[in-house]
Amino acid sequence: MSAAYQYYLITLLVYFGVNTIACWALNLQYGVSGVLNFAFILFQATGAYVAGVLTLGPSSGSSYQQYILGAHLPFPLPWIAAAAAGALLAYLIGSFALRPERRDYQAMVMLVVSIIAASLVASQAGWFNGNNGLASVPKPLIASQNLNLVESGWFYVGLTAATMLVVYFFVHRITGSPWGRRLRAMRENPEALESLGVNIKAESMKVYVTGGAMAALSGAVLIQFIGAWAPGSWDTAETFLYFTAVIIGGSGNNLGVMVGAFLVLGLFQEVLRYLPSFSYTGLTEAIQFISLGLLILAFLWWRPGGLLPERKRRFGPGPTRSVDPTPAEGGR
Amino acid sequence: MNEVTLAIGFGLVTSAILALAAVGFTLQFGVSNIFNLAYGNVMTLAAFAGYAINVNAHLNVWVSMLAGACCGALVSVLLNRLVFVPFLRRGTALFTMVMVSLAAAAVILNGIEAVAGAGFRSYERTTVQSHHFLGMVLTTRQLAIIGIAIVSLLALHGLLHYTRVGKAMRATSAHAELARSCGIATDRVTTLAWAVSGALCGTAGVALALNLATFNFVLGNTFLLVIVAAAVFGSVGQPYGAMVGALVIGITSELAAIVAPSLKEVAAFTILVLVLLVRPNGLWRSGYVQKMEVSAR
Repeated sequence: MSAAYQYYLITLLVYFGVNTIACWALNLQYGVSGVLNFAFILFQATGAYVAGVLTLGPSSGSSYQQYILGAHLPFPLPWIAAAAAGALLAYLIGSFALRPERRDYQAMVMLVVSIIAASLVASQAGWFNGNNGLASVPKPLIASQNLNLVESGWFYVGLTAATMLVVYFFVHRITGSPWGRRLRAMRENPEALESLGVNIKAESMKVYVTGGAMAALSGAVLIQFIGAWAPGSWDTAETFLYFTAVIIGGSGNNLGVMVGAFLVLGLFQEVLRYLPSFSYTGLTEAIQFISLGLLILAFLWWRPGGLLPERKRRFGPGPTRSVDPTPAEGGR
Repeated sequence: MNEVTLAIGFGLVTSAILALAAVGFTLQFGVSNIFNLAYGNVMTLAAFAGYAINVNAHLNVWVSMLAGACCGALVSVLLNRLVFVPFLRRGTALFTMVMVSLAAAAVILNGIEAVAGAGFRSYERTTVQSHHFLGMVLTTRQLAIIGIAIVSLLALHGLLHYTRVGKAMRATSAHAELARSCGIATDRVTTLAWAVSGALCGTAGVALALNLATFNFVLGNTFLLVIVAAAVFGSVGQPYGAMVGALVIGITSELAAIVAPSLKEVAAFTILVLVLLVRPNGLWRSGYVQKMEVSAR
């Protein structure tokens, strides 16, 4: 396989990893808990920016690029800092955006937040280099090795895969835990859960912060691979793409959303790339979004569970029945 | 004449357009209990319909505004009947309905782009005549837009409060099931409400395109942000709240633009956050109404 094809494959694999991590984060919020995070892409962007500035080194103040918080941190630290920044931002936004009682109401506030944040970052050249964004962010652990482009690419694929495994283990444990059960109950019927004494606002905030940290981590993995990040990479259409992947793959099912990430964000986009370009630029993208929109409507209508629907959970006989084999006379 | 009064003048025009749009948006939420994210794109469609009348058929801009209103009403009714109602009948969860409307919005937005392209257009220009008063400078068109907004909103007030069908709309908005059991044909009332709100939406779309001088396919989608902010500010579902929200957000954003144009949207957003911190469900909604809506779900 030629180097160019190998690098193409590497790019696809890293993107797949990043998108899967992001979809798991969104699935935890939307699919499992019913929290509509319409500012989702903002958290990925936060992770990317934080990881970017923490590896680029102090800003030289040159006209080439300007940013805040510049530092040279050794490898895992920028990613951890990115996740922490995502969590912190989620807490700040959640503190007002999660205040309205209705989920769709919260979603509207988050949508406003996301658009404003994008225009603010684009207009403030001093924060993250404004509209031009960050560029030439180095890959981690590359300087210490003597690898060519393809080898370092495969190394990065390994790093992404390892991160994916860690994140999968994490979300798998969460969705299988009693807390995960509580989150699903919150999605299905928040009022009923509240009547059982569960603080809905606190649960929503927890899942918002957790998902925010994971989304930020996905952004950190992405920026260190592609090396650049600008406001153009995170407009609200991207949030729509992630929601599409989660819904088509199977919201609530971690493996399902991985399939969704592969099909919608990987395969679908690549197939479009090989279509002959016709008419003017932008038409292909318009047709792509039209078909994705119709696909969402079709799935929500005919197959609301997605390709791999969430497993129906069955619980065996409760402990009280098995412990007590002789029910009291006339008990039922 | 200084910057502040000038900005208030522009703010009044923005507020008038915003009030038209936000009231329509909030009305749809009131009767159908959903956020119609395609709202901004229906505005754009109306602006294009008006453009066709004005530029291709060479008719007056006010005729094209009427055409825009008709187009908005038609598209809104179709959108509701063909997309939202079937999903709601199936008992789709409210948070999934947001995805339905987001998907519909993506289809309409990109549909417009695919057909009309991304180029900028503008309505036929006339000789601009400015009027000076109280330190504000406004063109005839801008004054007319303010006038149309006031007249339309007064008409809506009359419809909601002095006609039987308006009463039925308010009843459907407050508690749809109860309204149905009182013999109100909520289906027909809802369709009518979507037609009225669609007409407001279309009028706002043409007015926005006129006020901005040039527009392309993202016209309404960009404006949706301030519409949502104004509607959420004044509690979604409350037409009078939306009017107050439109006035506050329209004027403050123009005032903030004196300091720096990029602050325009940030100002709207800051007000929204402050209101949400003090009153989580918006300015208008009292605790009692909120409880009723929760039980109505």
